[in-house]
Amino acid sequence: MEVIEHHRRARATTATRHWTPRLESWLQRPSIALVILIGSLLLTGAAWWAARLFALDDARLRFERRTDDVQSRIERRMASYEAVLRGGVAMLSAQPDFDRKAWRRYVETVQPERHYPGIQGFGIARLLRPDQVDSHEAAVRTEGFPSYSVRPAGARELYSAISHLEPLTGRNLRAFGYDMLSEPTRREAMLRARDTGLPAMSGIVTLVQEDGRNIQRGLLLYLPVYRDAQGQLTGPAEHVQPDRLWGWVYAPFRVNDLMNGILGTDTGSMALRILDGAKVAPPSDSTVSPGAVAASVQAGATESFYNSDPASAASAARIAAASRLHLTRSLAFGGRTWTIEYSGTDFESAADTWQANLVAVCGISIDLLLFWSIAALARNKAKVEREVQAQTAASQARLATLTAVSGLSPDAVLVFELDDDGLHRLVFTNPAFSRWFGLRPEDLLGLSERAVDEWLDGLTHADEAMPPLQQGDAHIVLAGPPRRVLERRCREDKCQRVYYFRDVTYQSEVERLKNEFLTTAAHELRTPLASVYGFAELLLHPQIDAEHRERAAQIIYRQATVLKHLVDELLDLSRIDSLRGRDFVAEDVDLQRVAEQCIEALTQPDAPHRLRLRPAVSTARAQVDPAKIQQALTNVVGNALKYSGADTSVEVGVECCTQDDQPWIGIKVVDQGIGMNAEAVEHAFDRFYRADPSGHILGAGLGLSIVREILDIHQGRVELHSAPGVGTTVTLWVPALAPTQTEYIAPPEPADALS
Amino acid sequence: MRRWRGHDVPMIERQPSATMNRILIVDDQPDLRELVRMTLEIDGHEVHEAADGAGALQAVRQLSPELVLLDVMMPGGMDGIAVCRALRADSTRRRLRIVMLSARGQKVDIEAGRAAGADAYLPKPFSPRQLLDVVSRLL
Repeated sequence: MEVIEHHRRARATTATRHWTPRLESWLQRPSIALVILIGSLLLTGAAWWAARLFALDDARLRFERRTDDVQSRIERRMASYEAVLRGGVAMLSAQPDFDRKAWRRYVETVQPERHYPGIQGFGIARLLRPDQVDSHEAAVRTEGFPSYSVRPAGARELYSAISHLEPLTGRNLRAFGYDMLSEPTRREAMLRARDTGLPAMSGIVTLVQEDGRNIQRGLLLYLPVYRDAQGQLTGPAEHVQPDRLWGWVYAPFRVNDLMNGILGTDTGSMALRILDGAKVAPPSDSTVSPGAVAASVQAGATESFYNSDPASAASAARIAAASRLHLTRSLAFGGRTWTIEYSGTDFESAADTWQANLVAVCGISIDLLLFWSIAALARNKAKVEREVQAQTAASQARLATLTAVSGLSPDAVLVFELDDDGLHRLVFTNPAFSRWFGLRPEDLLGLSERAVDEWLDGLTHADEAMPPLQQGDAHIVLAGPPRRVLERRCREDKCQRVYYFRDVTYQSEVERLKNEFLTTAAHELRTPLASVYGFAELLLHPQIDAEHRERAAQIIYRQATVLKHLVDELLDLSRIDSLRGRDFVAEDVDLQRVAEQCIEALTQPDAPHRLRLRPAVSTARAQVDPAKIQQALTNVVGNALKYSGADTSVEVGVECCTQDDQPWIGIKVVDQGIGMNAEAVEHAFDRFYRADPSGHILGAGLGLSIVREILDIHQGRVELHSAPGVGTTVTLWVPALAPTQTEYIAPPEPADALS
Repeated sequence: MRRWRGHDVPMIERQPSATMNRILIVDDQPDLRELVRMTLEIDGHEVHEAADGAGALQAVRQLSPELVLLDVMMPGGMDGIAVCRALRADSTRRRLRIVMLSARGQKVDIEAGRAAGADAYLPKPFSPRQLLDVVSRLL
């Protein structure tokens, strides 16, 4: 027995999208979750690193843009200071009758405190030879400054004096009259301006204006003023003539105020440090402006004169080293070179990498979620697989039970299951089906009902076409051999249809025999009845004469006797059939004695010599029911008497033989009657068969049938030899008892003596 | 005597028919042949007997009866149906009347008799009066 599943359709669908289940099963392997986790973590790391790189690059770019911005702001501011000073020079040259009032108006117009923060004032320093000092002091004193003097006092080769300084209030009063040539740093810048004719920026100094409170670094910007050939004041000519120098227009700056004015308070997250002089650029510094290279005349400037973040001034170098955003640029102005160190603060660096960190955090969260869900998927799949395995095992056990049970079943079974197409397809057959229909399961499994019908159609009896399976319950006759009558039943539920085939050959055969027997019996009863009925009616007819009446009465009597016999024998047969030996009373019987009693009963008074019993030759004991054996013998002897002439005799004798190593005892009845031909002998035991159908000999044709039934119950047999015109010999054989005694039994007297 | 009336069905007194007809009864049972003979002789018919199919055909050839009563179930090679067919096949005996007698009274049996060409079908046991009625109707 085998069972197939419906692969055919399933295969067709998997062929079209076979990779999907493969991918799914690959994804559902338990180890794959870890692999995916590691892979995704690596990817996340790469993404974090890339994002960080981009952010840092971006931050650097912005930082550089801001340094550019700051740098250009400083440059523009310094250029604008220079322009204001040039304006002062221009005013001097434009006004030959220049006086202190005009200078004040100029400065007031410029509004330095408003437009040029950090600038302390605009001033004019006169160059004085030693012989000019006294006359200069006198001249200024006459202008309303009685305490004016050129300071510091002392004999020098060359003097200068701040003769004008606006606004001339507060701190600036301290500088009024100051000889800036007396101090080397200022002197260097002043002489450089005189010699080059260009604006000159001084090094870092402490301004004389400082009064001890909030002391700041200071620096000064000088523009030289010359006298031309006509004695007019003028700016530097095409060819600078230092000996014609008249003085300087200059501006002092306080560095912090200056830078705050330039940068405002918004240095943001950037710190900067300005050093006087060119710094030797270390190779790691990325950008160095070309101007710085060109103007790196001063060297060794290591101390900063400005720091935007004074609190961390001490650790500025450390910050610069630690920060990734660090840039050193040079600024050339007024003949001096400044080195400006910019550095992004830690905060800025951190702020720039928060996106990368967010990427990392989100990525890791997603990775973990992915890992968790894939692991859960794999766990679920394993669980489902275990459950499926358990279910499969259970269903296989159930199937095995079903198979075993159906294998033992005498009924054939077909199970159809509804498939996706709405067709019922065969999924199960049992051995009984294969045996009866001669079809192997592999021929049929998977077929639809219609296809199975075609297979079965050829097997049915030619006269009785099989109704299609879908018609449900039916009777089917298989051609065989052996011919079988099957009863088909159908049971159906939602998705299954089960057909049972029950072999009812025996029942239908019994039914058929029973009907046939009844028909025959009725016919046999009608035949004598026809005579009885007909003659009885004739007896009532007035035209029948006495002779005919007599004759009719005789026939009626005779046929009524036949009827009686018939009914008796039918009853006998029916009893034997229905009891089937259950009323069998076995006794240890001497068959010789049975024969004697039978002959005694049958011997007719008018012909006592016709029946003869041969004397016994040995013990004839058997385990039989004496009444039944006597009935059988009576039938046989009765036949012998009926079918032989009145002048012939019938001989009865008991015999022994051995057949199949078994002792048998037989009662033999020999007559010299009409005998039977071979065909009659063949049918002699059929019910209602008559050796002489003419009706002269009374009988129903059931006698020998009854004899055989009785002998069958005794496990005996009936032997019949006959020849037409010679006579018939019938022997009733029953199994003999083993001879328990060897005593000699005297032959009884001849049968005729008994009558 | 009016004992005839003791029957379920009242019977009328029958007069011998004017013409005497020759009738053949074919049956394997002597008692039944005698019943038919005795019955038909009431009406003054001339009755001949045959015990089997072969005898029946021979008797018909020799006697040329007007009517044959045929038992269906008979021993030997020919049963009543076969005899009936054989008689009907003989075109010279168009006027021959055939009545089938049988212990089998089923519809199929009657149909078989009609198909074979019988004029009437009498199931056994039959009443002699019935037989007389059938015979007089056919002749």
